[in-house]
Amino acid sequence: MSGLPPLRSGLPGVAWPALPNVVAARMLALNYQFQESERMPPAEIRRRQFRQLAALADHCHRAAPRQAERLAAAGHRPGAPLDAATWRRIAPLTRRDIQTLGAALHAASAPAEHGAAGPFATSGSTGAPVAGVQTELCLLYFEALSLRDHLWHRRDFRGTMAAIRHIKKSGAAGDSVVIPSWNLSAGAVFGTGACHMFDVFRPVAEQAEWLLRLDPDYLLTYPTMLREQVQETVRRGARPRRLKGVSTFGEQIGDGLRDLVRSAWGVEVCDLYSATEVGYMALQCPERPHYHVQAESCFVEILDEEGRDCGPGETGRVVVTPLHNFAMPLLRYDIGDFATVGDPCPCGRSLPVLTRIVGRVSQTLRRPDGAIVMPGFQDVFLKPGSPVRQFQAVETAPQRIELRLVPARALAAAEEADIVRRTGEAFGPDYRVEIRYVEQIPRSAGGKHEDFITMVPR
Amino acid sequence: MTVAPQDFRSNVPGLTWPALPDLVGAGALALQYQLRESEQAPPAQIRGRQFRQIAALLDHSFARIPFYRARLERAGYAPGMSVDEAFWRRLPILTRQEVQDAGAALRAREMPGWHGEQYAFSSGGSTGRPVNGVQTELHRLYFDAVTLRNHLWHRRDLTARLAVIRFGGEVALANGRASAPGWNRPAASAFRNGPSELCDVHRPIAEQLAWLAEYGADYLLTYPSLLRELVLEAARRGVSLPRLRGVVTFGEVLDAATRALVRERWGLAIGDTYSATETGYLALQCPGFERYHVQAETCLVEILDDAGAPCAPGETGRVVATPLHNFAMPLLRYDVGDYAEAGGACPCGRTLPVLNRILGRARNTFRRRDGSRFWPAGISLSEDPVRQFQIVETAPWQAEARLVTTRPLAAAERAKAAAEIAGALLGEYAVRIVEVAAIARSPSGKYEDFVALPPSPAGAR
Repeated sequence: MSGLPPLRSGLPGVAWPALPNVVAARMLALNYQFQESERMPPAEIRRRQFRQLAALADHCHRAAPRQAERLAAAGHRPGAPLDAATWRRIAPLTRRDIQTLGAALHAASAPAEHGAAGPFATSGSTGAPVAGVQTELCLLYFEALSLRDHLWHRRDFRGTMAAIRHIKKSGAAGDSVVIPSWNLSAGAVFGTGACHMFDVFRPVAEQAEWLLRLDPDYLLTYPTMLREQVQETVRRGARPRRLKGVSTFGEQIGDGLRDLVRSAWGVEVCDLYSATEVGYMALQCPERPHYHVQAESCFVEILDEEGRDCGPGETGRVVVTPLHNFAMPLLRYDIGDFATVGDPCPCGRSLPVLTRIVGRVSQTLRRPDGAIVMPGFQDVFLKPGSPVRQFQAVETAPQRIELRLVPARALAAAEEADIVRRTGEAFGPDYRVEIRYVEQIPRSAGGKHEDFITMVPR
Repeated sequence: MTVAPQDFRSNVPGLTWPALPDLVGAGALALQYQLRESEQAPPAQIRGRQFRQIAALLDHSFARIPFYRARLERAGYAPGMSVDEAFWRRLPILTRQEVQDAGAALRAREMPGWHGEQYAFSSGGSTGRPVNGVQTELHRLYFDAVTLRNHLWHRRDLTARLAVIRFGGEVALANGRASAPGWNRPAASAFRNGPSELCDVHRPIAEQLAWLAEYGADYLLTYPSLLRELVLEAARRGVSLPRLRGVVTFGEVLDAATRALVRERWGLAIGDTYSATETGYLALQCPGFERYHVQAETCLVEILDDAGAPCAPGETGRVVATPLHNFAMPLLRYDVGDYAEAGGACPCGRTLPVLNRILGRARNTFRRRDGSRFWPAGISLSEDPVRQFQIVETAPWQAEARLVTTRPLAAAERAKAAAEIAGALLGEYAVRIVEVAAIARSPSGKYEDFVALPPSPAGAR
């Protein structure tokens, strides 16, 4: 163990121990608690989760009528203790519910100390987009867990981070962006190297070229893209030399990916399980390639078809309750993923274990020029009040895209034309897009929805 | 004596776990986070970071304190240079006398940034002239952090009641009491924290005991000598303290006899601390073993032999301390006046330097006839009717044992006490028993069990 790297100190003359600034102090205060809680007996973790859930339930009774109705239907009354039996009677909330109910799920108010509520919208990688609001407090916890991930994996904060991901195109940012630190928390506490971001919608060849040129210490990207990047660098007979580790997020980590990255690049892959609407659900154990549920931030249940808790080795639906979003409480939210429960981890951390997150599959498109990309067309449907409830693009034949839509209402011809035009632009000039209305979009074998699937064999 | 995991204090409505404390609480946990990491860091890394902090202190001292500028220049210091062992050893030891003589010349003319308010201190001066100076709010912040660390190390239940018997100073009311809603500021801000009450050390022992019982203290913080008195007083009066779960001592040398007495009578282990007014904490007792871990994050502590070289484990030397964060009046290599035995690596896993024993001040040392010194210890005198004792060297190899008793001693009792004391003095001293009405505590409430003659100018005793 090499010890904690030097912290950034907020005061002249004080090098060690550091007196961090306000943001950093909060991050460390939370991580101090995480160090305690990750080794608490599971029953104690659960007791504290239920104490926080009870506070959330009380808030729902006061300020979130839809959730209050669900609690009442489960037999919970304001101020009453909240136990596991009552909790289980709350019927899970589906993505569809969130889409249908929309702003009706927002709380009338949240404590001012939780900070402003800001909008979020999922990228729709696991089905139709889900939009809502979350408080600054949620972001604070998110940042604290990002820091925990770095600390667990003992990353060298002095290093450069490369992120190949969706870059929100606000302004003329172009295909690559540089920000001064990896993220808010690590930057505030330790100071970090820069984070260079590259647009995931660029062809893989460009991504690989950029990566090799940058030669970062760490890389963050989607598993499917990582696979393509590795293969591309192998084709070029090159590898990012300085790379110390890769983090993946946003999709299921496919079989063999860890081995591929280890053999081609000589580094380990560390996966994250998170979703925009709930934050981090699980982080990879620093010692084993499985996941620890982030029990301090959300209550995660893995349920079988009868709604019972799955035991070790069993796979079930992921039902998650973020503990701290008082602006839009989501009690027992069925996020649409499946996961496999694991045995307690020998690493000593008592946080629940998931051995596998299933249901997230690759969504890549091979363009006529051979470039492999993640088709980024979801923005077309992500604006508030979109007349489309669910969508899926299916490549039925080379360069033919069938856009399956579940409409919320009948679309005007002009709206249809607009959707076809914008989707076509996203795929590229060689693609022909046709709309097909459907009543529902069936789930994949793994139980997941995919924004994009291809039927064209490779 | 383990308790359930600590409960943190949340300052945000609706938020119970994990807690978001107020800024003081967050700052406190941010420091504890670092302390928990650094106490397991490789020793070389700890040393490196101490020197990094000292480099900042030296730059400041050089620029703003002429007294130190001259010293530093003589030692070959240049602003901005990195500090290493070789340079550090060239810097002369700062004696108590020098600090007293220098007075305000040790104070910085200005501060490099926010270090908070400045507070005057006066070290007790149990005998002789006190050391006066100033400390900053920043220095206190680190002091409070180590206080909290001590409680966390020993897994004390922070929701319980803490009773403190010490010098009441300006906080105690006319009745000698004071109360607070928490144990100290960081504990109260970061954790769910029980109340604390203080009783002045100068109140009569019977009153202190009655207060302790009435308050229903879970933990007691006091001086070893007073603790001993309390245990004996409680036995005499048949008072039990059923709620008491732990005892913390500070301010005086804690010897094995007092540890044994408290274990035997109250069934409790003591968690001792080693601090000095001028420097803050020097060491805390390890939670696993009866030895001490230097608080390296707030103070660089050296144990030096007579030639000024660092003592090896098992060797005894003088304690030289450099508080890392008092920029208002830096003390660079300050000879605290105590002696301690250096230790080896601790099996508890903490990598902070170890002191096996704190032996006390030079003036607590007695001499063998061959001239070598020793610290007398192991006097329990726990039988009725001795309430307090103090052994004073009156002439070479002659000692006076001053005893405060509840009734005149019988001849057999006197003989037994004299034999016990003579044994503690290794049979080197002729012991004369004197029964006295009281043994005065210093203004700060401390007293010393053993007081030796000051060394004569020629070195003979």
